[in-house]
Amino acid sequence: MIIEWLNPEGTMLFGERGNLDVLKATFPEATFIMTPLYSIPHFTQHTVDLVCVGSMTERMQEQMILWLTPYKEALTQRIQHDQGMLWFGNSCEILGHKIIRSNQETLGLNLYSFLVNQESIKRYNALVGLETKYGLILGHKSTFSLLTQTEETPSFGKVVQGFGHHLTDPMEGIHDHHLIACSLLGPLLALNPHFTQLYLSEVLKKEVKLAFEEDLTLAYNAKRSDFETIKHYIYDK
Amino acid sequence: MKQTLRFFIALWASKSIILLMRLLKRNATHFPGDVALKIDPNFLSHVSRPSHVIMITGTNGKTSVTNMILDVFAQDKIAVIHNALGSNILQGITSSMIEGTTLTNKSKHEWAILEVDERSSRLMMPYLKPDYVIVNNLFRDSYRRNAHVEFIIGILQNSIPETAHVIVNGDDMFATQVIQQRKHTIFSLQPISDEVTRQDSRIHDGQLCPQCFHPMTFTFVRYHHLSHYYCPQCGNTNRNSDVVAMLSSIKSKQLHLNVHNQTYVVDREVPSVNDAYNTAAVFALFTAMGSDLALRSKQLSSIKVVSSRFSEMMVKNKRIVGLLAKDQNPVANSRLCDFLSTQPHWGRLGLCFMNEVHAHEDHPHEVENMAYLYDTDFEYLNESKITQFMLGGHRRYEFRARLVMAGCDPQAMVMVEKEDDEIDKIDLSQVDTIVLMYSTKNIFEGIALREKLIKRIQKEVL
Repeated sequence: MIIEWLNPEGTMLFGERGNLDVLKATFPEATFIMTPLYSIPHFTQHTVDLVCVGSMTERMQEQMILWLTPYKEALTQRIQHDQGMLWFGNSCEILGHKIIRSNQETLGLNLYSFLVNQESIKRYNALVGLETKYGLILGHKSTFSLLTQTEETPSFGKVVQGFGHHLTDPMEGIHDHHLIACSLLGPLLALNPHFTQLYLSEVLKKEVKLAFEEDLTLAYNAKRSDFETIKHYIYDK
Repeated sequence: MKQTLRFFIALWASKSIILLMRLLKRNATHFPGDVALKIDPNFLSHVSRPSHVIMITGTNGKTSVTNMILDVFAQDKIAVIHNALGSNILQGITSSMIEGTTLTNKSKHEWAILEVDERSSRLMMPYLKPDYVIVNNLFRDSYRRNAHVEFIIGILQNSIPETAHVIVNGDDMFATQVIQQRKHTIFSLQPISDEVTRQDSRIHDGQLCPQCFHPMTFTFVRYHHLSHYYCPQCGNTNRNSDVVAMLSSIKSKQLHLNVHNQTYVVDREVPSVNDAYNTAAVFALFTAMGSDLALRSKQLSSIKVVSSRFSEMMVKNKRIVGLLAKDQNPVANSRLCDFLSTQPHWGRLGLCFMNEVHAHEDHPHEVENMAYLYDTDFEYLNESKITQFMLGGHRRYEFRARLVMAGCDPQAMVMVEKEDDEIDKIDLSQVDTIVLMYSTKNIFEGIALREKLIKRIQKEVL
């Protein structure tokens, strides 16, 4: 089994390392390929079971787009062939049509048609409950970005609290075949063990026994319990 | 800028509030500023500016650096406007300025020495126009407020006036980015012969060159991105330091500071690398100001660094240590984990985690983002000498999960509903040292729990 993380030096912000920890502990026999920025992605030439990308700075988003643009076709093929891909945090923003920041536009990978509108100072923070086919996903949004023109993007789920693509758009993330992109921080795989177990089993077509499942589930249940009783889901607008 | 009637109403109203709060024995370090800003949102552009303004910012060490500078000014018997007792965000700075200004808007003192939150600096620096700005370091901090280091660099680059003289840590590839075209003084700390460096941290934001994104080369890494670095592609490297700090050994009680081939000695205990950096930052400020450095080194030698971040006491045969474990800050917590793992004489450790922001509220209004736990080096706590992990509060299971993932012994973890209960449940027969790790929001609760622990030890330990 092979799992590839793209540009780990530049896409490990906001606790994403926890996602890698969960994968490494769950698949101790797997080969983890950590592909440096501007190297040839392993998945473009070899079979890779799961490709992951984590959160990054806004400048790094531009570098990632430059790097991955020549591999757009390979990314599309991966999606079409039902191969696993996880885009955590703000990495999903580079999959869209454009990133607009301070009147500057950066063309994205354009695999989807949404626009990313980035604030330069304002940060949007929320606890998000997201209803998905895998059940209720919990996580935090801490983002400069609001997404528009998302109508044609297959969403990952619908928020039941917090906000989604936009303050006025309850849909969140991308779920296209076995590509899942989700802006929630957590880290996603550690915070949502039920999702992680189901998704990995689906992608790998075998029953996956998740590492640390008991402890992660206790943490999820406690968070869910608070989620159902707290008063504020959006902290700053 | 022209002073308006609105400004004077704001000034007089907030001064009245300070007076009233004093009579009520309340802390007047935030609310008066809040009121003034509500009346006149441009208050800081109207208030009288002292002749000289020094601002201290950066992720870690701001308070210590500020206190050291204030101490030196106190030795010189120079009264200053400061916010040592108040907050370092807009309302706190505004309160300090109100305090330091007369009813007719004349500055009471020639100097203002202000600790400034880096995220909020854009709301203050353009108006108060500091002459000197110290940027001690820039690390990951709250994901919610500070996002990432590049975001904070951008804020500082845009907020620090072009006329300001910046004093920056030359070992920090991010802090030095705020220099741009400004006058600057750079300080650094030479590698120490017996220093144990950390190159295995989960966070190392400088792996790719911030200028060209090529992998950096390192000849020395102190911790995280504090390093001697070189980019083989664009040549980005440490700038030459104006003030080079040196410790002959990590336990040395003399900090040598080399300035223009002249060596000055600060002759007092510098209990950590961080203290050495903080002292070097202060010395660099005085170098930039053209001070008598021989005198300054003597003054810095006489300072007793009082820290709310570290306390240590013995009660019977048990050591009680209080440590500030900044909530939401993975680097500060990683440094703390490193510190705990490298204390050779503390015996068996019991760690009381009490740094959850909302732990002392029965029904929190928010659910805290604990993602920072996954950037924190809890792996350093995977040691047999840590015999108890006391975990309480709303997020205790997230702490537990992360500690288990870090390889810590689940059998050593004691789960209690509230942080307050940790003290009752700790098994005193299994520990020689109890470490209370409180957050910036829970300092007073931490002190109360320490008192509770003292009483328990006095009662139960023979």
